[in-house]
Amino acid sequence: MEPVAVVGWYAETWKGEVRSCRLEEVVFHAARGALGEAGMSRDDIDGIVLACHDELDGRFISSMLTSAPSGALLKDEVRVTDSSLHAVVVGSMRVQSGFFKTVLAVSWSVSSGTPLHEVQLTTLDPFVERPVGAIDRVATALHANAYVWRFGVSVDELDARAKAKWAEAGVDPSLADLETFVSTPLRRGHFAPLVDGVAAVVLVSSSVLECRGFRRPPIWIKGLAWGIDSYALDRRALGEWTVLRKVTGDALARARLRLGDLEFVEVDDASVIHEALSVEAIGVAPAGKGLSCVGRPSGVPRVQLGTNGFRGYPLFCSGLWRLVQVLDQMADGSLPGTGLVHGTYGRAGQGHVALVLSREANVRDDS
Amino acid sequence: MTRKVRGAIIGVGETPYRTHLEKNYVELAQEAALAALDMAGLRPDDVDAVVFSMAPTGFVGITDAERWAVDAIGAVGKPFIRVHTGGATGGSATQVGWVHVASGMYDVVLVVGADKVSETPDTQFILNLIWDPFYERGFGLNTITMAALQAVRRMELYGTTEREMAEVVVRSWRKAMRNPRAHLKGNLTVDEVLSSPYVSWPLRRYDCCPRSSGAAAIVIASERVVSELKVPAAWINGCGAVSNGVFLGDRMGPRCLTEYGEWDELRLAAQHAYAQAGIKDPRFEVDVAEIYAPFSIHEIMGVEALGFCDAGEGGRLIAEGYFDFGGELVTNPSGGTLCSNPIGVTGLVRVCDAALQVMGRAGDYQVPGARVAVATAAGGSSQFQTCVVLGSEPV
Repeated sequence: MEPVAVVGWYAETWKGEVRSCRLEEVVFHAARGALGEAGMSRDDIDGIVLACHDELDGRFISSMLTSAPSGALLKDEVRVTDSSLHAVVVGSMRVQSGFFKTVLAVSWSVSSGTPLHEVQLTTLDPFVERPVGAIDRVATALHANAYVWRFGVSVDELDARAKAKWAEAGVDPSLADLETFVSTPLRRGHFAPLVDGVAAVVLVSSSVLECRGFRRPPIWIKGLAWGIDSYALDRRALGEWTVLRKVTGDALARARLRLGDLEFVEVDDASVIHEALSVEAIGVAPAGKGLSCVGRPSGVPRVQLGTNGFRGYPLFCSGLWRLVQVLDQMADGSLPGTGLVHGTYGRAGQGHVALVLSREANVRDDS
Repeated sequence: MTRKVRGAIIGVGETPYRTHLEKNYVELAQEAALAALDMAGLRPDDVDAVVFSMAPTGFVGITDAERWAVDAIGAVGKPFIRVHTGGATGGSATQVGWVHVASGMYDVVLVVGADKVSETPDTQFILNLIWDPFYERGFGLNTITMAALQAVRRMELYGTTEREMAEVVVRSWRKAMRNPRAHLKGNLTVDEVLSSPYVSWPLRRYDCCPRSSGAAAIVIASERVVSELKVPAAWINGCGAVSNGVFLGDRMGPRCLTEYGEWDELRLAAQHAYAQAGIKDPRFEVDVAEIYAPFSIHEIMGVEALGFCDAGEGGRLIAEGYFDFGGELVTNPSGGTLCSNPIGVTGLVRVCDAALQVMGRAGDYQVPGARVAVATAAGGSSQFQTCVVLGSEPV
């Protein structure tokens, strides 16, 4: 694929009770922050993609409120709802189509004011699954159960990996967090703590890059792919994320790279089991060995070298937030030149998005 | 603008629009998807990527219900994205499906969606929840009262009358008699419309769309696939969308960028789409238009915003039959949104019916010789507008 350049980005997270801004103010600051980082104004963009979730935001068609603050006033704006990284996907396709030159992608997550358990219950079919209560964390526990049983992993190992994540994040979790079961075998402390957050990126075509300068060198999206698995848990392979394997392969193929070319991999770490299943599906660790990578950013490619959701995980916009963390670190050189960013969404990893990033635009010619 | 890859609609699938107690949400989506693939001569395995059209999930009562539909529409393991811009969702989903192809990344994309609005206990309660919780919800703003305020504004600006709006209703219901899938249809008289009770002045019961359930789907293919399959195609020659701020008051007054009594957002979106399609004078170059008009006043605003007549002339020209069958430009030959409104896919239904026209497959509501068709969609506080230009030939 023709690479798309990221020339501006912005993200922040906060604990809900600390911040008193209205949602539209939060979105405005993020949009302006990303544009400002790129040295651009609203006049320079010709397309906007928003990613948000009505039920988490607490109002239907929540983008009615946020489209103008995001800069979309009288501009071509569209909105996606499943993954914040879908905003980057649609924005990139818009740029690649030639009909758009500069696209702003914005996403947010303000779940601190949301009755999350009730919202997640409404995602389940009302006849069978809603009464059972098999929401995301419970379904994730089914994956975890299958995983520990199949590979003979000790539950103590889950605890140890979670403690490593907390330690790396510089957070000392409470005893209650470490010991309270959410759904066997997963405890509260195995999950990243939720925070509110917002993130935005500015995407431009290579032709724009040739015409004007930006404040810092761009980071290139060289490959991207996304995919979804069955809704029904009994139709999925528990204990592994097969769709992510395909998504990774497609993203690498579009980037004309091999797994061995990646220097780092930043995966969705909503829980320790998310991280373990992700690194295995991507191919960094063999089946049953992914947990050993969690909290240990070593090996090649290096896993979670730049991000750690246990510092605070902004639920809906976590993918875009993770991307911005990576962009920051690629730009200042603290992350190496080529890597993969992953995000997951839906119940127990139903959907996945992967982006292959590089500081270099050039594509290797395998022909 | 550089057009890298051309794309066309080669499959259209629609269910009847009515109450569907016999099918759940997922089964409706499946019916439309399979019908669209069947028309294109394709199988689910031939689809490269799926775009799902779904507006507020409150109508269905299942949050993220699109993920429930994944298996039934053959999307497991494939790229899948849900689009949601309120009532404009179907138009936006078409645009997102189109960039999948226009980017060169995919050859065959299924755009599909469904809604179960007729089984929603109180649609306008849900549509009250789209507004600001502190002020607007409290004074009863919903989509009917929102449209009523637009009608009042039109009366003030252009002297639009209730009789002109009634003419829109009569003509839409009459056209819908040709469409086997339309929810409402029949031979109404203007007097019958004008004697129906007010829902929110000046809108009467017949000025308002029904609550419909149903599903719609299109298959968008790259030029390469269209040539290989040698099937009838509706080429996507233009695609535009414009968003505005949410607040109605920001669109009234001398210092405003847009006017609430006109669909300036649609006018701008159409300008983008027309420019891509090479249309300079839509009055003479467009043969048929499927306008997203859930209330009678909206068709009057739509024909003006699309450049089919001058501002303030829409009501009179519709009443004179200018946009009826037999005219040079026919609007809503399917009966339009006023006769069927499954909200989450209504914009997609407009695209479906416009595509059928340029493919010559619209059956009894076919506009003879239709070569260029326009489909629109509107959402939020009429703030999201999309416009798609389809042609029997690519530009």
